[in-house]
Amino acid sequence: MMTLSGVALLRAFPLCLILLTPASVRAEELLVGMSAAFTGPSRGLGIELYRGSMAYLEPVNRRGGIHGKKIMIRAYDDGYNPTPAIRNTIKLINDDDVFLLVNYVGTPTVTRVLPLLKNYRQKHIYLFFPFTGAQPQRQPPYSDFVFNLRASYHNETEGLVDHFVRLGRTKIAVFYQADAYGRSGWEGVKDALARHGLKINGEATYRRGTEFSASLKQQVDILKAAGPEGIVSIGSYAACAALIRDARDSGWKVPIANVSFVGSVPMAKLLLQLGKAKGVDYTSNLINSQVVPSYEDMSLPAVKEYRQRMDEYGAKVPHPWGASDYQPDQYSFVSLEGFLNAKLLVQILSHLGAVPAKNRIKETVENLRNSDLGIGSLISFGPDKHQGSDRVYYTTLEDNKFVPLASWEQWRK
Amino acid sequence: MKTSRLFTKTLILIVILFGVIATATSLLFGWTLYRSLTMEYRSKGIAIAKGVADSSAEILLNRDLATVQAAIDQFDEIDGVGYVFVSDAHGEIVAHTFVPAVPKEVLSLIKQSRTSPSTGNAVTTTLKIERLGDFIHIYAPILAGVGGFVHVGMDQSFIRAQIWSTVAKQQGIMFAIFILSIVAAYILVNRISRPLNQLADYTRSLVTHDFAAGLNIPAAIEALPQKSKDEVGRLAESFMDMERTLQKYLKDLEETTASKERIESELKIAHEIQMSMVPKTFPPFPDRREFDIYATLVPAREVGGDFYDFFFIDDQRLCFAIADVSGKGVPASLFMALTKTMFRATGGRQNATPEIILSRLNREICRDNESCMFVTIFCCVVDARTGQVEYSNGGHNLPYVLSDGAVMALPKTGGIALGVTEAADFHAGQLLLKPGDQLILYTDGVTEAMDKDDQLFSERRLETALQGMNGLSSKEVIAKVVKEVQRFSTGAPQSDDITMLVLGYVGPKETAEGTLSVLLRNDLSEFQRLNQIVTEFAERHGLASELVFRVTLVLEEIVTNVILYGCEDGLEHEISVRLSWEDPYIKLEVEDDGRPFNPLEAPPPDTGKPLAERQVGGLGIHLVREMMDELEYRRENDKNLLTLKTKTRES
Repeated sequence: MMTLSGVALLRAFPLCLILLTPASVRAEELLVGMSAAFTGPSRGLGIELYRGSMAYLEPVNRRGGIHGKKIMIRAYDDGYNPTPAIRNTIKLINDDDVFLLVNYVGTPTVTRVLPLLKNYRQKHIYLFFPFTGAQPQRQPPYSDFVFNLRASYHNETEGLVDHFVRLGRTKIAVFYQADAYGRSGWEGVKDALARHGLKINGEATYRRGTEFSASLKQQVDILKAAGPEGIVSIGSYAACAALIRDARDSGWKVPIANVSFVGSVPMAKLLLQLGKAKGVDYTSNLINSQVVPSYEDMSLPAVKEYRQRMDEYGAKVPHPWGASDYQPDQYSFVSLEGFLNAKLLVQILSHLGAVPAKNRIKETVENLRNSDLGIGSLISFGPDKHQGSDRVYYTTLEDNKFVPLASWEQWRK
Repeated sequence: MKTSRLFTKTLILIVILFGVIATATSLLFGWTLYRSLTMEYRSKGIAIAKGVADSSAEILLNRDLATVQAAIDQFDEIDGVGYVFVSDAHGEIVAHTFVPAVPKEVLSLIKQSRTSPSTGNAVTTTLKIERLGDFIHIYAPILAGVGGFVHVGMDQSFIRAQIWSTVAKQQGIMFAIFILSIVAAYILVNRISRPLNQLADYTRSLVTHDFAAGLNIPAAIEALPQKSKDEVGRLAESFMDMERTLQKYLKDLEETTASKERIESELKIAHEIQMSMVPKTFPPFPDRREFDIYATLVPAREVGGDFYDFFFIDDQRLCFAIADVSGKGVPASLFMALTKTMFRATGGRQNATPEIILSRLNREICRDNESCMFVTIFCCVVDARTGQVEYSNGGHNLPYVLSDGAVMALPKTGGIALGVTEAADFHAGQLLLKPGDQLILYTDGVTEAMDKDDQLFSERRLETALQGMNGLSSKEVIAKVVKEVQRFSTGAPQSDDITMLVLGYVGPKETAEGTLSVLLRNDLSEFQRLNQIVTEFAERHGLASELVFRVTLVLEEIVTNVILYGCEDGLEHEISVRLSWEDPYIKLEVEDDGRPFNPLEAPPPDTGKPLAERQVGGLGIHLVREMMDELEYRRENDKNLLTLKTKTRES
């Protein structure tokens, strides 16, 4: 088990390498770069993603790594903001000379980093499995440089809308973050509704970075005024939780569906804490779509493995973001996704062989077919398919836990 | 601390000035800034809109709204950008930056913009959004409108905030400068007003300054011209010059005044000396009753050039003269002293007749006459026994003779003033004075006395004044004439010495000594004077008291009647009473100029009149008739003349 100080050593490793170790040892390491939100209202995403990946990678590295190479994650914080993300990426590419990029968090950040990949195309830098379901990295011109694992927001919103419409709820409102992420989800809802010949029925935005403590009463009023029968929420877990709180406080019981980017577990934490304090149940009428299976689904081998690895990994939080006030989740969808990201990454790296070359990444991944991560569905990539999974899972909160949604019928109109 | 008034005025001026400047500049600046910023923002907005529009085409075609959103989010961060959104060809907003929702004003704007044809250029308008503010709204077409529009809203409140903050900064600086100006002005004004105050105090102190003590310029004032080489310094310098000059003038004045006072005191002494040079005691020869001599000399200045003199050549002959030296003041008086001395000297010699006296005097005067002064002189010698007068004139005003009330000027003798030439000729003239006649000598100070209209008194007025003076003593004559002259020349300064000499010929010794006369006014209070001459007459002739009593009674009765009945017209009249010795009689003559009235025919005493009015218990005319031996009444020359005689009854 790696200790905290061990992690610190790991981070200082490149420096030590230069000073103490010969080049051959350096050659036994494969560095991957990560820029994510490790601070701010969305830090839970970056931290949990990292934890999940590390939970998988550590045992791998302990066993000698891939072809004798240990996989190290060089992580920088961008606070869920585009400009730091760009800076971090440049640093990772130029200074750290990472093999590839992985685990980026957020649509606004990733969207702005994409042109960099194009810019450094000679270096064959690829972005793997960003924690965002937005379209920019799924479409030309940047789709060439990105490989996605998770289903897209379009997939998610389409599923949610379809379910709502089938339930007879045709008036759908959208609550979304006022940025590319929110816009992406909004677009998904719009397109999905358009396929049913419907239009968005009410919308409200909020600014990225809004804390849970902020009042979203204005947005609730705007949405209420439109009289929707269901709300699709494309936001951060803090803001979405705030919306749910303010909506429920105003006596509005409309079903609210959140997409996967809404960190379900952190959102649930906030709602449960508040609910307990106020004696109110904020957890009803919630649907959270996920792009990974529920970590409660013990039928899946990946889940079992994940839980085991997470238990082994423990409550470690990457330095220096182990701020005293962050309580890591035991299990979460985010860390499960990080876990699965790492698992698939290891598969790909092993396919690259003993002498991994960046310029062969693309063809290697595109040739990956039917990889089984143990999540019940197979992952495939192709020249025009840079999204590994299309599966959308629906979960809901029950007994303070996110469980797979058994049936939508309770919301039939 | 007294706030300088100058400073207060300056302060007010500065405040007003700055107020005007501040307001004007704020307005101007604010307005200019508003215009420029608005234009800037407009261009910025246009640039953004067009930029996004041009680059969005492909993105929009890619149907990648997240990228569009990412793009417009970038621009939303720019200063002054209020919102950015993209509408598609159908007018639907596909990406926007509004939180929490798209305002209804925007929706209506989009509807409007759809109706107007797209020109391919950016369109600028203004939009007011409730709760968000005022915006400059720009929209640019994407692919000439086929791809939709990019809308940018530039927040005008940003502009306003900029303006306010800039104006505030500017006003802040203005204010700071204002305060500095106040301080500077205060210092400057103080620099001016302090020395001015010092000067003012210094000037005030000058008033009470004792200049005799010497200059006492305070060091601070003295330092001023060096300290401030400006108007203040000049002023200080002038003040100091003024003090120095004042000091000098006052010193000079002191000296001048001192010397003037010296001269004046010397002149006073000279005046006294001169006055003592002419005979001043009258009567000059009390025991020579043949003459009634009186003279007066009123110099124009402290000392003058007129003189008169008389002395007895021998036992019987009196020499007297009146002279006028040319000029006035000290020169004339010195010459006068000389002349008088020489006159006495020449008069005292043998064979002194008036013409000889004048000749000799002339020669003497001409001899050492460097200053070319001359003197007019009238000289005469009168014989006390006969009344014979011999005279000579040297250019002088010819005297008048008063005889029985008639005024007559002496004829000329043709001599010129003394001191002109040694070769002058002098001639003599004769005149006989009857007893009672008076010779009036005067200088041109009398006849040339001017009134305030520069009219001369002239011989005519003198003659007029002299006329009617009958029976007056010399002293009285002179007094009257002088009074007349002074009355005439009231208001005008005395231009020349007024000198008069009256020689009255009483008569030969016996007669002279024996006669006494007095002039009374028609007033019962004059009896005192009447009694005086009666007493004197009695003393002179050693009369018995019984006779005195009789004479007094008679005279009182007569005069009373004259006053009460003869002069009852209320006017002033003169009553002349004369007592003379005509052996063996005492002659009483009462003459008055009242209505024709014979006192002897006075009505009986009016017992109705109160006793006090009648000092004499009216004995009646019969008493008078009883007491007097001879009585005669005559009316001649408009005068009543009553002559009474009584034998002396020696005891």
